[in-house]
Amino acid sequence: MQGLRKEVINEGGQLYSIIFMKESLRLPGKHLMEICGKPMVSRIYETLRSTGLFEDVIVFSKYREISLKKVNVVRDYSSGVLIDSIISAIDIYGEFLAVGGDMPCIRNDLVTRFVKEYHDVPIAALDVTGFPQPLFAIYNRTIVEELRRYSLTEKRIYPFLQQHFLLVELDERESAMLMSVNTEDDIILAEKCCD
Amino acid sequence: MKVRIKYYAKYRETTGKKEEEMEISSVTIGELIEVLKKKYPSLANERGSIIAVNNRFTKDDVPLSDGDVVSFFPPVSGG
Amino acid sequence: MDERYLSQIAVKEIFPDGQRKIESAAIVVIGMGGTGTVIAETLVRMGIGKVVIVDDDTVELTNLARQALYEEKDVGKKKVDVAAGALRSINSGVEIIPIPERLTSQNARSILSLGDVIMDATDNYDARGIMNRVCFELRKPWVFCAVEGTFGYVKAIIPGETSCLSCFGYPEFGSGVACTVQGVIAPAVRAVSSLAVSTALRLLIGGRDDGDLVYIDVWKNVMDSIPIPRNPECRVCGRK
Repeated sequence: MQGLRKEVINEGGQLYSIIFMKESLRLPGKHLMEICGKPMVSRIYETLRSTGLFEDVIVFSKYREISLKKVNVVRDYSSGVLIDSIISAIDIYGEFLAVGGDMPCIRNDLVTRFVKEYHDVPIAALDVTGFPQPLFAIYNRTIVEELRRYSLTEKRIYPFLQQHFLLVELDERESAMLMSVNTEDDIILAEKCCD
Repeated sequence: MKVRIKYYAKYRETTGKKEEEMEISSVTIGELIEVLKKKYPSLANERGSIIAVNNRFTKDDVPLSDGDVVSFFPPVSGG
Repeated sequence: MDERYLSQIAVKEIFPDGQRKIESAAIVVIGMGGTGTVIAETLVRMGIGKVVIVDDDTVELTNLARQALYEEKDVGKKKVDVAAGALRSINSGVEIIPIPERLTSQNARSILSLGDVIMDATDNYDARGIMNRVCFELRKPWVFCAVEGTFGYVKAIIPGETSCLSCFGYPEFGSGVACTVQGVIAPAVRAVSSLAVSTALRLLIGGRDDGDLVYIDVWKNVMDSIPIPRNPECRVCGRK
């Protein structure tokens, strides 16, 4: 919408962290499954908060109903796929580190070292398979209009990250932390990352 | 000085008039509203009225001039 | 370009360029009562890309005298479900997203962020207060509209450019008066809703509006607009 909205870049320089989650068909209710005694998404939430880097940590959820203790849950009403949720979150929060709600092995040290690489240009993690990771990336309003236009005809976000984001290479140890839980076996594997 | 007051929507029913001319000493819009509220008691509890002077929205503390046309609109909430 | 829109594309204010903007736009309609159903129906007929409809209410018999989209068989059903079905039958090319909730301060940011332009089709001051504040925070342009009896208002609000509701003291709290008490007639609903839609289209296509408060009375055949300047000390949009 050219000329319709003024860009509001970072009024106050507040970096959020947003955990994206939506109901899984493969492993229903996975985000609430316990890993070492704590629901998966709560574990991620607490890790992010413990870094002290973020204005706030928010769980952006497509679940119709969810009850999580001590966790800030905001309902994601966007329809469509991940790219649409991300656009909606940029519209609301402006600037944030996006994290997957099914990545329980993320640690404080990885988050801290990744955020240090951020200097106003959006960045995305590049894992050892050479793929940019949309759910370990920092988004901001500088790219939202272009992302919105892009999303009208293309729903896969990877090419957009490859073209417009600064890619931060992760080593093997760091890449392993980004593993996402999609099966019962993954839950067992994830238990190994508990402290 | 003389001002012309025009009433719109339900204010026409409230005051029983479409418009009226009023002879009034030098007042601000806010003071005129007080005069009207005394004249038409059912206006007393109104909040959020929109007042235009010579068809421009104007705030309460602005003084009126001779010949001004004051339009009085109610807030409307329905949809 | 789709043949079905030929008659509107021929209008110079629209033309193919405008139609492209219409088809790639997302609009959120808050409220699916009188103004909401007429607004949503018009936008969908014209081919808006995505329309989000928000209301937690169910259809009642008294709605049928002035609300579009609902029929006798729908009484008792959820408004957004009935409306979504009707809208999809009118234009299957438009994406319709029903949200069966009431706008609150908790969900406002999530819901209002879904559109390029937001349409006010609410029936109380509380909701408009929330819209005024959150649309300003998100920098979302929106169209205020309200109707009662034979009379109504429409105003474009472009955050940072035009005045907002607070600039002229429009009430931002309270429930207002219900339509069954105050009364409203269908022609007034349709006239005001149509003005709201053309205002939204102008925002999408040209991006500009002076933010005048437009009023219309369908019984007295009066229509005019009052310029409302921005209030620099406005509680919501004034300089801090």
